[in-house]
Amino acid sequence: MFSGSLFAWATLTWVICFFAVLGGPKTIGYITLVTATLPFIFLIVTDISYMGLNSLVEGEGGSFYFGADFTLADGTIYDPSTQLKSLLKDAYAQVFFSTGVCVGIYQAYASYNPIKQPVISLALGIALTDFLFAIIAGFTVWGAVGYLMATGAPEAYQTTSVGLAFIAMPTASA
Amino acid sequence: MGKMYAFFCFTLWLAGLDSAFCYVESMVTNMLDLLNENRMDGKSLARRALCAAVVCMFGIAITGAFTTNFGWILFDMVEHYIADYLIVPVGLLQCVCVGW
Repeated sequence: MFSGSLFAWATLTWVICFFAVLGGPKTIGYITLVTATLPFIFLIVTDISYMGLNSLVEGEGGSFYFGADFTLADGTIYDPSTQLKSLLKDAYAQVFFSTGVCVGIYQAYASYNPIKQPVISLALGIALTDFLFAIIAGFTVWGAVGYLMATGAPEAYQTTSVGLAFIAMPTASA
Repeated sequence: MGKMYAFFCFTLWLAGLDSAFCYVESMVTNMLDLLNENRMDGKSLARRALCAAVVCMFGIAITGAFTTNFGWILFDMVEHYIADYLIVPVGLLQCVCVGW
């Protein structure tokens, strides 16, 4: 009914969050230097491990990622051009979420900027970094999915948000 | 579950923590700006601590709903509605507000 340990961990996360916010935007800048670069390094490590799993069983996750034909669960070949609408919807949801635009973060932080700040180049930098991060993260996901496809596991078709992170990925690395 | 998945989960958690305090910081900043209290002296720091505590308490209360058995479905629902229907209208409204 109710997971006590999960709640305890969530509370711990909020407590960390509280102490991070307490110091104001200056300290957050230093903390973010750690919490934003560590995932980048970790992501490359998980990339290598999942793509390694994929190539171990001669899976085709990498080639699917770069546009090879993908056979669906019902035997038909996946054609992206017929599903352009849902693809675009997923793409904008991903980009909007991961850059954190439209939720007031940038307006709040911008109030701490000096007057002569090169805003446009910084915005371009944010967008390009996000793009790079997403491209690199794709290797992890497709490595796991390609491995599951090659081993014939039914979890290979769990490719939506929750199913991917908490069903497909643990099955691939088990 | 393999060791790699623990590693992957830690990465996810770090990314989540990162965005969590970005969001909390933005809310606290907006609240303090509204109260016209955003200076770094003693009184304002106490205000900041109070604001942050209120926001974090609120966060804990909402997170509690996600730790129940229903949380899995709730997460899917929330993500679907925010990502698909809410975020673009909010963005457009923000453009209008900022351009005003």
